[in-house]
Amino acid sequence: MRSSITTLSPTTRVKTAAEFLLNGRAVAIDAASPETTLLDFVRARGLTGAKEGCAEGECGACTVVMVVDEGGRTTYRPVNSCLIFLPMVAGHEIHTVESLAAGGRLADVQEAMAAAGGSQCGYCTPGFVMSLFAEQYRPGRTGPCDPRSMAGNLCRCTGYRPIRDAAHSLGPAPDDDFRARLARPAPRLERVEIDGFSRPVTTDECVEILKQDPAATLVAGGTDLCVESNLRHKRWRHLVSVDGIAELRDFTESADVVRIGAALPLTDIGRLWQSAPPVISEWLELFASPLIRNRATLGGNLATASPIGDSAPILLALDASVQIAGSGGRRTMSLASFFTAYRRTALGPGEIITAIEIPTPLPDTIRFYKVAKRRLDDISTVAAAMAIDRDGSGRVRRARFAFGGVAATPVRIGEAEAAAVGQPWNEAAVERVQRIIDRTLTPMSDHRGSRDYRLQVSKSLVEKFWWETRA
Amino acid sequence: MAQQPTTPGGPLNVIGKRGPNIDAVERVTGRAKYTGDIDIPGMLVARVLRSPHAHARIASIDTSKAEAFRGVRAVITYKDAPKVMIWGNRQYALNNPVRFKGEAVAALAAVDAETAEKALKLIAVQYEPLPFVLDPEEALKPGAPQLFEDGNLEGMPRILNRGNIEQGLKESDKVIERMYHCPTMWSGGMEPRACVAQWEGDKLTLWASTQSPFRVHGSLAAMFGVPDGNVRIIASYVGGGFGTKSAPHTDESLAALLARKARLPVKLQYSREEEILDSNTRFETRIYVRVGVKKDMTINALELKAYINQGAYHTRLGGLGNQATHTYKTVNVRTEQYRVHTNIPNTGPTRGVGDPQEDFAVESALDEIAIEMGWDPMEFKLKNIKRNGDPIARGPAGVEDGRLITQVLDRCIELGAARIDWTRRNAAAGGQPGPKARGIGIALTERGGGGGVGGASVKVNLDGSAMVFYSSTDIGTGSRTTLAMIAAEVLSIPLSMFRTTAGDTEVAPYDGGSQGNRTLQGTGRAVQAAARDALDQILAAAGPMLDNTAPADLEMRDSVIRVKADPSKSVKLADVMQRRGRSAVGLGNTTAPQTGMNVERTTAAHFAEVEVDRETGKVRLLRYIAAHDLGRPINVTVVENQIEGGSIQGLALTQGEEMRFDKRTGGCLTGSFLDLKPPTMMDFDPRLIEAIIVPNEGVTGPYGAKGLGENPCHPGMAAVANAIYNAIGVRLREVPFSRGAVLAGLNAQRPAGSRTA
Repeated sequence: MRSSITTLSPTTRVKTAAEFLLNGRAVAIDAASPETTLLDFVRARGLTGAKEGCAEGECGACTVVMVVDEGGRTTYRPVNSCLIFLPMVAGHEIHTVESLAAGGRLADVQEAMAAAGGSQCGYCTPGFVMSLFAEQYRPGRTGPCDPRSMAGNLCRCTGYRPIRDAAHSLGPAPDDDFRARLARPAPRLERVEIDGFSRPVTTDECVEILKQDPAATLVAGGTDLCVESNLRHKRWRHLVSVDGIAELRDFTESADVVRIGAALPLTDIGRLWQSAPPVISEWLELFASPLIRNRATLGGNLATASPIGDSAPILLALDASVQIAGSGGRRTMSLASFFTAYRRTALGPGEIITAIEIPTPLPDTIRFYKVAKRRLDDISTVAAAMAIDRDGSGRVRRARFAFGGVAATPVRIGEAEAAAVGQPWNEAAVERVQRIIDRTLTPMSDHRGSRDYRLQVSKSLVEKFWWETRA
Repeated sequence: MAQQPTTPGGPLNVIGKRGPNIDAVERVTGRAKYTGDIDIPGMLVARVLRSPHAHARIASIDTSKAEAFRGVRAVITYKDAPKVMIWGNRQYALNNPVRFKGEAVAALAAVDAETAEKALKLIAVQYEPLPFVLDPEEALKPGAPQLFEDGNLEGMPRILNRGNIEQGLKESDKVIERMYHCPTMWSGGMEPRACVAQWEGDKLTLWASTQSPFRVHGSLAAMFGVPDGNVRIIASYVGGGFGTKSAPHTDESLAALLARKARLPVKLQYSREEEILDSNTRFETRIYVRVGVKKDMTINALELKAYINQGAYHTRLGGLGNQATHTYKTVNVRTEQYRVHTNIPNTGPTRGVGDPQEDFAVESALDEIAIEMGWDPMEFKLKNIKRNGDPIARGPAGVEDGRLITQVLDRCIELGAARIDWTRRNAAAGGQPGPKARGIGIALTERGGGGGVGGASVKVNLDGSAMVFYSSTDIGTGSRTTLAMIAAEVLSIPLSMFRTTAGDTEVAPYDGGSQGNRTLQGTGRAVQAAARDALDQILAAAGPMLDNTAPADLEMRDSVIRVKADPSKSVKLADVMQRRGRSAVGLGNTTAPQTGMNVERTTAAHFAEVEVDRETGKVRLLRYIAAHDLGRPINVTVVENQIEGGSIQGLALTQGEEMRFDKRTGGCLTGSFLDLKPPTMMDFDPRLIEAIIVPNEGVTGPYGAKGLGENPCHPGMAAVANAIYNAIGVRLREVPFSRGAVLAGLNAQRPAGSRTA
């Protein structure tokens, strides 16, 4: 199956047989277009339990679970099947709701949802069931199931209380085939080459593919790209998935740096970064729903360079740098210089982000704020991350103020940081910072918020930060 | 339930209990087949071309390339649309001119979605853009762009008068004038609109995601000029409706037209964006209120002048409910409504129809005037509400020609106030120091229900199992379960022996559909009658097996028929049915109950407690008490779900779900879940909402039940606005209550020149 990389080109790449396990059965991936979603594929096969509610990962009606490895442990992970291109599941094991009661008996989660009255119109129910199923079988879980595991699933009929009751009524996972499966390793992702889709397994292979086909498009979690395809019918000539590159899914923590693989799902960042301060888990929760976090990556979020992406402000405040690989070799640059213009980055042609590095120790005091209409799983109107270190006398030794949604790119406000350093952290300092914000930020007006509103919120957040961190 | 409910006939065995829905297994396993899940061999996929203009005449439309495209089987434009309006609502299946951005211009059916998408791009349309108008008051001004030849005002202004409003205001000791605005708001369910159309000769079968199959049935029979018997509508599982699916809509006509032209079955399923743009959404209201009170705490005059933004067409006319006329003993009342067409998408009845908007205006204005007079708003409202025996209008007219019965609104208020502890409310609004302040607010509401024709049949099979057939739907309201419970109670056949067929116009009698608090009350009465009919047949058949006992002297308990006077003489239902050798089919056709002068209404009192962050403007809900009169609960689990889910929908209106339109183009800026933000589990902690079922028993519904579905959605906006005022002294009269609006209100409170955070 292995082919010589040097001979690869868009026309001569050796095709591999791609298949995956769907509800325990091997299924060939033979879709006409690589942009066929997993949701459309399973529904076309008559597995209509998973529904389309929005096609952009906002409602969770399409939730299925995949079997994944979590640091040597096997687990079920719920994902939005509308946000996965079919070739991306090559080699995976997928279960839809139809799998649960295939033995003729309802699964515990199904019994619990039915008994609690957690299903009214029922359109969202299979999605809730799959999220809760994964939660019930989560290795190491003790106590009742956490209803927050279903935060990515929308329901319009219930007030969520019966669904929450269902979660709380569930005990340990039963001793069944689903639990037995977790005793064996999760599938390992192998190289895939099919029409219009590649999945390399090393960084070098990936870089080589991009060199051979400069028009190829990288896809990581797919939570952004699939929306482009589903809602705006965008198509790509050649998608290159970074899912299979082990290096990009690494997480290491040393004395002076935390290194996060660019393609490591957000869920795993929270899981692996055990020394992280609480602000990191708060940030991850605010970033997106669990269903999105199970797929979305930092590399993807930074590379799209949205001015309102949620990862940039906190990574800027943490003084992060970006590791980049390309055919010309590897380089590292500070995140502060990574964003060059609206939705533009310093990535050159054929370059990929391999990791994000965060210097440690982290600042003494750091906060992340996301102002959006809905608390979770929403696009920010303004996102901000602020950090300060103080010396023994209470004066600011180091300050970082980073914002998203207030300029064409995510920004750090160096002038404000300089104005705070060396001074006591008090109301006067806050007012100085606010005046600089007024002068330097250039937010735009749109339906999420007016220019003035964004400015006022930005200033309010500085005040809030001071209020929460004052000595 | 504190006590076992009873009726004159004895204790109830099924009704009044908790229990899961009888179709829960189908739903949790994914086996329930919704319209979009239906697959017919050879079925085509339809896609719709939509107008890029808010108002435009179609100068020319060329479909030849699309028609020639490989895999395309049918293309239709306004030229193919029969000149029969959809359910008489001013709209043909396809129209020229088009009157909102996103309106269907053409539709086609192809062998698959990808082909259909590609072919859509091949339809060449030349538009002549016309001036457009988005605001209902602007649309009434001279020189405004006109949507229809007879103008933008739909019909006459709807005016309702009681007493003399001007004199009432003049004789009041205090009068305030206010305006309350609710924007156009999305109100849909989880399932976007979907339908599958199949013609066999001149017979049309249409699977549709609708609340009211017989309305769609009538509309399509008229459009195609075929007898009623040639149309079958099936809406078995419907993924939520909330009013948006309560009437016939464009998609059903388009699918049927395409299927007829292609001579193949066609599926048309809207994307979420299409569902938001081309559905029936909650109409914008601008309500000008004048209210006058006397020093003795009586409401002396209440006037509402409402501008209602119908959008381009209408499913049914929007309008206010009866909050101003039916809740309080106000002598002088006037409501004036202008239903205005503008170039935004269709609006129509959604959960509560105009009641949530009207409730926001009335309940806020009464809160305002009470506070200005120095009264406790709850005491003020309690003093003025109509009570049993008070005069009340039987219909929508102003004349109070009936009298109120089975009203327990005072108990709703008392129980709700006790639960939230109304005494904790700030005596002076906005008095709490610090960055965060808490407040409590109250809002009442009322509604009727159960009107129209109800039809159902109940079949007892030869083995003693039973079925309920009805043509209204279970859109998540649990009607399959509650209607089966009614039949199970009447027949005394165990609920587990029941199956239901919902939403099928071929197998079930005519019924008004599922909207307006009516399924349980209206269809429920029909089921009760049908079950009684079937029972009579069974008892008559059992007589000869029990010494020829007369049916009146027999009774059935748990599927066993006994002689009342001598219960040792009994025969099993299955044996009776076997011997009878044919099903017992009971029919129930009911109209609105005849109650003479008596008027029965359904009421509620809601209490909100909020915490407002003065730094960010964030409003956090701390507690929400929803105390409801619903007569007797048929299934307590279903009732609690309806109250909690409805309350969340009402609360969601305070935070988002606003459809905002671009003034320059008329386009909707919020055409996705990401922008509309229906609440997730993390937005409102479910534990914060507490439903109180106020003990009561009605007289018009089955077993004393009243309709419930709409009411919980009504009071949220007013209750929260009143609570915000109590917390920080800022009065919000425009929905949604954004952080920006709260901050602006706080800034306006500050003396000039003070620092703004």
